Amino acid sequence: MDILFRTNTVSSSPLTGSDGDVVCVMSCEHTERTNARNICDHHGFAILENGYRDPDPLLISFLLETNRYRMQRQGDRVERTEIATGVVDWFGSTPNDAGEVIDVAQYVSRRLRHVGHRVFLESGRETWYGGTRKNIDWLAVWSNIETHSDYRRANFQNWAFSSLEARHFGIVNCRGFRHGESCEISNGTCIEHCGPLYNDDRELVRRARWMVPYWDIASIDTEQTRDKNHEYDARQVGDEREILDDVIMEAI
Amino acid sequence: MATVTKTIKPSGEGGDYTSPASWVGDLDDASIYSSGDLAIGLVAGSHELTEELLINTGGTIGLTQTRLTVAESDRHDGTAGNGARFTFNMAGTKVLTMDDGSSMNHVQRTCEWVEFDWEETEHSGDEWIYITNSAEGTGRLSNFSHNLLHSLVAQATRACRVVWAHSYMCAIHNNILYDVTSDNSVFTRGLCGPHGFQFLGCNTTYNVRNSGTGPVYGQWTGTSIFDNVINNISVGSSGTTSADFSTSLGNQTSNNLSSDTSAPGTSGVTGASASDLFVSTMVGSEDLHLKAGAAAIGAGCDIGTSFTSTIHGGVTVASSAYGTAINYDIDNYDREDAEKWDIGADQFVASATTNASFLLFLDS
Repeated sequence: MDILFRTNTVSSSPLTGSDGDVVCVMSCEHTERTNARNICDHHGFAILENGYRDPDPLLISFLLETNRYRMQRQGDRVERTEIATGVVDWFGSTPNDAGEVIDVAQYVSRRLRHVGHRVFLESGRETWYGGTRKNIDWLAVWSNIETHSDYRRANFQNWAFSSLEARHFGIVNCRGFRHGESCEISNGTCIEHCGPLYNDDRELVRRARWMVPYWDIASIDTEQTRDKNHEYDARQVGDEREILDDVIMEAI
Repeated sequence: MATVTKTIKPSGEGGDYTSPASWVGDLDDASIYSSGDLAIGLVAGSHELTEELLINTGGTIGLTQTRLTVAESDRHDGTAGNGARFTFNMAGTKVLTMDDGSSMNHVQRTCEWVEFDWEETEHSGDEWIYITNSAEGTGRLSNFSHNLLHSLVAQATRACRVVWAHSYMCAIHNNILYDVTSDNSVFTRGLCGPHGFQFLGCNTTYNVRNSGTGPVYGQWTGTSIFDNVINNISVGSSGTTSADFSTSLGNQTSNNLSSDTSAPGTSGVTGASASDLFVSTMVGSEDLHLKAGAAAIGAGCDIGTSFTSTIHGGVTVASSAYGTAINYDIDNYDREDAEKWDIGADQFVASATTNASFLLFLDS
């Protein structure tokens, strides 16, 4: 779990931020997902001379794992295949029982005019992907990335903070500790350790419910982390990382 | 006054910040900003938010405005998956709060051109995007425009407000919202502004539904005479008790379109169906641009550069001072170039129907 925290107090009001406030946190799972999305972002794949996006296996395998449907145009109709089940439905200008309808010529021509489109030419048919895929298998996504590229999951475990963030904020990481052994902190635990604090009347009490008392943490150099002119990253590796409860505490 | 632009790109992509939260966290930093500055955060890529994005900073240093926006090359095209996007993996009750600063110096807030994709994952809380101004006053406008919002599943039993303009002086325009699912006995509202001095213009909402007994509204305003509800499409709202629009008594309310009879104000269109309006309602390929022949085409009211809202202070909603002006549609097409305004977030342009056979016809 990577943590970005404030290293200065900008006002006397805790509503806008206090020294040590947690700004954001990233679990290992979150970092892996973000890095996979970046690697497979379709904007990074060329639009070919024919106007369609390059159907690179890296990109197509990502879309197959992260979308619910694959759509293929046939004339003025669309064949929609649910990727997980293989169930096929056809759509066109006549509404189906659910009232769903598509003007496929207009749909495709609109998409193709946009620099960020995701329309491919696969087996001679215009193809695109869409719909929400629940329970995405991110291990399968990474397996595909490793199959189709030189990227390795092991190299994408840490959040790559920017130079500006490394100068203006504090950066630290931590691990969990369970049954006498170190462990990664789950995504659920991670997201419980960020966000603002409201009272029962939904009034904002503090901008950040959690804080990092970095001035009391031995592995963080207080002077360096407060210096806005130099990048400083206090993250450690493996068991050298602090334990969650030693790094982060409730601000009230 | 200077304009200070910073980029917000995902981890490892070379932006000034790797999350919207860290951009917000730096808005009072005197080494970057000075009193009177306009702070622009340019979002690119896909960002998974793990906590409420609370934009309430910048008042200490005296920023005039914070604007979360997207560069033209990174914007969505009115459909999902093409531009800068927020997804959500959080425990909080809101995903975004735009707060002018309450008792501190007022800072005008804008959020535009972002895709909000809830990915059909059930989230807790009653409201998701919360916009508040501490008091009325000339120029105190919060602006939420040109965003694409979809695939929200509300937590069962809880009330549901997707975009809630909570207090005075909020402009919500040119947004597309579709596929909101809830199951409650309280209420479900897509875009809502209950407290007066709200401007809802040129929005499109579709398929806001509640399987519980609570009433459903695609777009909802209170009964303040100070609300303006103009040029909005709301269709396909469904539930035990449902209406595409709530009753509005706004003194500038006209040219709205509904699938039922609820379109408020004068010069409205009622009884329209989604399948006759939109390019695609097919699940997985939703495209709520207007199709040729749609009843919304040419049925809008011109609220461009010559129009001044009657919400307090006489706001000119076509002013670029608040971000992208209302006369620019969801494709950034300037409606002032059209003969007549359409209703909804999209201005139909005939050339949009261009396809291979049409080009061949021209060539011959």
